[in-house]
Amino acid sequence: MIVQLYAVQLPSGWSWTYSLDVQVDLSYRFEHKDADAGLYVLEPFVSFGQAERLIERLNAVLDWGNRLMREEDALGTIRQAAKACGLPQSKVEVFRLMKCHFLNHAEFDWDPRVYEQIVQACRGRSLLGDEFGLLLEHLQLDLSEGQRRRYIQLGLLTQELQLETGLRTLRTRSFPQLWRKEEKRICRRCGSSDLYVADCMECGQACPYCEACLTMGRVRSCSALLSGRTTLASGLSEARPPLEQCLDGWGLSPAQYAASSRGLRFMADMQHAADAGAGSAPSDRRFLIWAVTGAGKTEMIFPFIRYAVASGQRVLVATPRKDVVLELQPRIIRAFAEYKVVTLYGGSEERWEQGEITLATTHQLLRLNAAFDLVIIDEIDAFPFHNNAMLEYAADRVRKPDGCTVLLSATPPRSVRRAAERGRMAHAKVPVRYHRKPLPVPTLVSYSGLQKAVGAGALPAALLRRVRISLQRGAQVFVFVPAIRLVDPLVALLRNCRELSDWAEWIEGTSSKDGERSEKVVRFREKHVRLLVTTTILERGVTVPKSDVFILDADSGLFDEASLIQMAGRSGRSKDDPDGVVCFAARELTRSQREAVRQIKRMNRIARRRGYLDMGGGKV
Amino acid sequence: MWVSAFGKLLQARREVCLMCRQAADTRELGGLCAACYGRIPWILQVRCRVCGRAEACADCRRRRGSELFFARSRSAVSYNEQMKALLARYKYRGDERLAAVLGRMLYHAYRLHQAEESAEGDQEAVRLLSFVPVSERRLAERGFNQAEQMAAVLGERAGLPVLALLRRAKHTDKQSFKGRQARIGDLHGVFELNEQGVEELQTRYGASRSLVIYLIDDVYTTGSTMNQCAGVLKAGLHAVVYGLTWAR
Repeated sequence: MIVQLYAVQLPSGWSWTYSLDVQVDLSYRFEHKDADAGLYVLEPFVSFGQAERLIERLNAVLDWGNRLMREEDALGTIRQAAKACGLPQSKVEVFRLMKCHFLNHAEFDWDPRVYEQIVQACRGRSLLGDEFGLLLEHLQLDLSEGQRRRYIQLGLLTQELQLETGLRTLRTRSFPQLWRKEEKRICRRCGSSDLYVADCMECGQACPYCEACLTMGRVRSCSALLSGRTTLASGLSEARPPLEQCLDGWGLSPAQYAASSRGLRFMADMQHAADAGAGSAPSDRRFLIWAVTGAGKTEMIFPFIRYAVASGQRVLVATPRKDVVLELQPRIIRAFAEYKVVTLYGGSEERWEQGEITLATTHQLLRLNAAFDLVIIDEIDAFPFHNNAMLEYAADRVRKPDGCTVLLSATPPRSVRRAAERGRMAHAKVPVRYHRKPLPVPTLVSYSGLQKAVGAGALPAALLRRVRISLQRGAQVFVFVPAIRLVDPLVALLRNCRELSDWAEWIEGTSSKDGERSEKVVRFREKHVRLLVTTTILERGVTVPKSDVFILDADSGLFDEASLIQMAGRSGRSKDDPDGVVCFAARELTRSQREAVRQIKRMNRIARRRGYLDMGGGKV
Repeated sequence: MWVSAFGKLLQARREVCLMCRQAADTRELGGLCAACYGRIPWILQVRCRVCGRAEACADCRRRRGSELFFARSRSAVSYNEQMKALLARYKYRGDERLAAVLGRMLYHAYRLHQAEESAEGDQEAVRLLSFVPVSERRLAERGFNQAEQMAAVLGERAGLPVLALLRRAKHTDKQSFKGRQARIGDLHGVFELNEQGVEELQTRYGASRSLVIYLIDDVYTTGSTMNQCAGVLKAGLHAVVYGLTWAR
């Protein structure tokens, strides 16, 4: 994006700003009787990134009134500032100042309906130039490049639209020069600092772009992100509904009910504070629901959604995987029939729709900005981006400044867990599954490792016996291994085992590199496959009623505590078979295994203490 | 903080494969990990002497009637699905880091030329690289010309000068949306000599030297773009033109 710089006299003095089309500014300022003294326009256009830096510097210079009287003087100052901002010499050389009078401005011919449509559609979004083009196409507005720029400029002047540069500059201290503040640029959409510098036509020099979110369109230092202004939650007039009313009717178990109700109270308190004008820091506006695997997380979010939509607010439910979004969609639509539900994922048809409830994959958060009063994020630890920092960044950005975030996870990352345990983050634990039976505690089996077993062509008898017992009792058996290359050898090995000869044809293996993965999972679900060897690709999301879990090489560095818990969480999920088997087979007992077992036991203990466990089955 | 600073120091040595983005030792294979490098479908056996295809080529047989302006063309890799995805990442998503990878891969195509040239070459001729231009509009949209970037990388590697000898006279729609016939008819008069580049050429080497121009493009599909460009170069300059593309 290229823009033009100009100076205008405001009551406070001369001020520099930018425009996409100065004619719009002239006409707007003329009508609003701003600055009768006219404008000083800087030719030629500069890139948006350059403009932002240059404006900051120019506005730090005082006494523009006198300088602008003598054009050479003003130009000298501008050139100096431009050089200090690192603009290329070729551009700085040809700078010229032009005085524009209001009397001879061209009237900007605009259609208020079109303008309103654009402002409405941009609300809560964060769009790159070509995404804005697609939005106009969707609205069936056939506007020329010039008209687009004029409508955007009008929106900027009325402050109903907002443009932000693609990158943000942070000033931080870092090793090794701790005494010096250094400038660090991060992507405004995703918060990453993985930048790559390449020649840029608009800047006329090299400029960085973000590599981390490249798949969602390229964000450069000179790109402009367009968004529309949204109203704050505290500005909404609707009455808040009573909390009990939001909690009832979902069939929540006592543990689910308790957690949701705490979360709701937190949300209501936040809102009262916001209504009263007392906001708190963004990190304090988050509520964690730490729910064991199979606790029934989806049901727990319904009360939050109801509370928010009944208060006239907008809700986002974000989850890392598209299949979860698609699974959630019909349930949400059924539960909230009177509201509009929008589903966003890569290639979704509802990309430009707006509604009270939005379901989205986490990637889609990058295209949104300050759009929601309530943000619910499922499986915060399974974010597809490089790290959780990116999710945190994106999630904070899509939430309105006075909104709330609810995080759901069975295995929160260490930082979040620590914050919760030390009282720095509001949270509720759901220590029990919806069927009210304790989580199966992993059994530890020691063996010499998969590599050796494959080499020797034999698995230890103790392990095979356990697998055999599981198969005999009619359970579906998950066998997890740490690497894709181990899947096929292990399948071959298991098929050839004498102990498992009855099931040889029922043994399959799959991984992320397997084209038939989804078919195999379906066959496993339907019990046409009884034992499935796989990698962490199936650690979440796949729920098979009566199933047992064996994790081989559980000491591998590729299995952390979270993935061990998730894999163990595949077992005993259905109420007809709540006591599944979980087995960690390893050469040694690692910290991850110890922590996973400890956490599972701890949740069971909490559940027992709070009386959530159903002791009717006779098993303790 | 000290721990993370120390971690940073350690990480500085770790590199990431430019194709699959996994951490790997990439020093010897031009920024790629061994697995990705192994999957590159290099054209090792040229089957079509004209366009450098690895398979028998119906296009070149069919063309026989009309005139061919380039002496021959060679490409580095076969344009399979994986290579298509790679080029799309570079061209359309703008992952410009790949310019270095693709440019270096071009060197293979250059070597294919060299292997055949030694027998016939005019040793006096000035050898240089040029590239197929993109339209102003495309350039503004995409931000760069992939052929130009790849030429720059190859130029450095092969020690050859790169000159912008061509430019687009009018904007055409994207080639990839068109059929074969439409492409061939549509391109007439699209390219012209770029005076600036020609001027630079003449100040460097004089007006009378004979030239060997390697004309670079990303993909050779029907050869019509290559042929049009070569025709313009041959008409305006005293040159032999060789096509040099990344994929065929």
